[in-house]
Amino acid sequence: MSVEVSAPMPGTISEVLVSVGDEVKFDDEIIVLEAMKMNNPICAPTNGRIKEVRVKEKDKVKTGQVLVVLE
Amino acid sequence: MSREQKKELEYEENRKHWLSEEEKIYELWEKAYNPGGQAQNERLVRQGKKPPRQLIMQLIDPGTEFFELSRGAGSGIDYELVKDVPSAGLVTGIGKIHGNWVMILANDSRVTAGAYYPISCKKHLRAQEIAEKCGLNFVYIADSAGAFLPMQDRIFPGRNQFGHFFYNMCRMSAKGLKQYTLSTGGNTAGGAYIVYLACESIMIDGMSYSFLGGPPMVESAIGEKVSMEDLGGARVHTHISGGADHFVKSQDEGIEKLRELLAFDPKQSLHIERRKPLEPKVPGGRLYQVLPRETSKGINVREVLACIADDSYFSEYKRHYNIGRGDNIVCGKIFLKGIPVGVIASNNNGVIFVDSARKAIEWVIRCCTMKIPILYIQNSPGYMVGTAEEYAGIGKYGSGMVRACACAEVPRIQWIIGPDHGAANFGMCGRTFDPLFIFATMRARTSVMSGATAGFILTSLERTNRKKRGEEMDEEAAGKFQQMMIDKYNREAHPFYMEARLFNDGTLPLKDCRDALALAFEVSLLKPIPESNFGNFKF
Repeated sequence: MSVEVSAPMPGTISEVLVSVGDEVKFDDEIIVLEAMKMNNPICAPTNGRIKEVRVKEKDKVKTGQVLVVLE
Repeated sequence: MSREQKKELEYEENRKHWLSEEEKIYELWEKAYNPGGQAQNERLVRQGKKPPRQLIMQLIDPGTEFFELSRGAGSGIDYELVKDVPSAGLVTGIGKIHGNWVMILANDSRVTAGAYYPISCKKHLRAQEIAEKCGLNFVYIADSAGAFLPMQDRIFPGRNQFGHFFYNMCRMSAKGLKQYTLSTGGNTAGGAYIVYLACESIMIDGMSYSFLGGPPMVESAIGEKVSMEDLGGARVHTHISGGADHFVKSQDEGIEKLRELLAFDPKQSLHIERRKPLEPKVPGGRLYQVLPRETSKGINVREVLACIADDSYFSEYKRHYNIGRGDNIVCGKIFLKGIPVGVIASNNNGVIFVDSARKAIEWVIRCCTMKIPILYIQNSPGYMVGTAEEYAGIGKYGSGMVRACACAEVPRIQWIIGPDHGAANFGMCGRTFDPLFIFATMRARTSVMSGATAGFILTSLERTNRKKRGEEMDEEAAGKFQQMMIDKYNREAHPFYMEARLFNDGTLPLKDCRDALALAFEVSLLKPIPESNFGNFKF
């Protein structure tokens, strides 16, 4: 089953900390999103493997936009 | 480099950063402990007096610690006449005497002969406020020249100024709080009331004086020539006027007498069931690693909780509720040295969404019905902006957080570990919402908005204003102006700037925070927890 990780708020991707194939654990930081003058860590909502990374650094994203897919 | 290695490296950098930042706390304390340097210490010795903290250590139970508040008060306060008033010229804090917590205040005569500046008044009143709210008995070790006369207009006539000390003494006494004064110097004019209003007061032969008008004033008013000793010395007030109650020969004897007077009080008890305290499971010093060096970087507050909670155990409320938005505030319960405490903690970047605000309101109400105290862990730059949140009612739910915080009658304590801006300062129990204590850390930044935001907004305002006057602001001028605003905000948001003005109760090293919070909750639970009544929430 795949799990989509989406942006909780609009902003700019400042760091992508994972690549396809990486194993991640629940609560690991996977993306840093810059918004509200803050660097916001986006964490893995579950244990899994990175199936897709749909953004790169400096991308502007909207609320709800899928950033990473886990499986 | 693997992600684990990268994290380890970050942790090490964080640790080094906070340890070096905290050196500044110890420097600040040193300034409080030794105002006036060697010259002032020698003056004390000539007068046969000990420095105030030494007297306090003699007063409290052997082997216990004195929990001092606001050591940085008055530091860099920058009055027209005086730049610095170390520790605001007086020592305040909580200590144990015969096993009971007592508020202790001691004037430091090494700072302008113990004279009161506006900030000294604020610190004196703050100590009385804490004692009154927590139901603590009070010891005054009084040695003050009275109001600092060149600034009398900011010390004498207003509500929260010098005279309010005595109003408070009367009201606290009426509520059954015991107050004892040891006079170790001059307490003259209005200042003499600190001796006369105490339940019992002690004067030292040849050292303590109290009179409404001193010898020069007496001579000019009625032509009577008299010495200080004969006008209002210890012998006069304990043998003739009866204004003071106990006559002693030295400071040491005075301290012994204070302990004797407090020996008859009943033992205090905690109005909550305290379990056996357990140490956190995570290694000591972990807190230094998990807090990022930059305040603009999000935190994992569950890691922070693991550093302070007994057994590193956190029972979380709504753990899975809208992760990414809902858990920007984390709620739950911990034991803090055996005391059950409800937690409202900023998480990630701390930006408060509708989901996090609603959860926080629910949890404040739950803590009030459970009658457990609340620890607010502040790391929030503000509420989320934009149409999506506005339409979803962020203003409404933000005001719900504020209402819940204002009306919660359980003891509330705020601990600032990061940004503390805007309305989030209110909803997360900042100074204006009257928490019993506020403790800051070197990572705390308290201001109406962050330096970065202020720089941006004020620069665009300035650009518009200049345009109205027909002036253009070139990029260089704009950049300069923006940097000026950022610097101003960053300077004023600093925990020392806050502490100097009594906007917090002290900036603490991270390693001391668990002990300090546990002690503060213990002191705040000496009175029964009342029922809470909330007004009209909007849902």
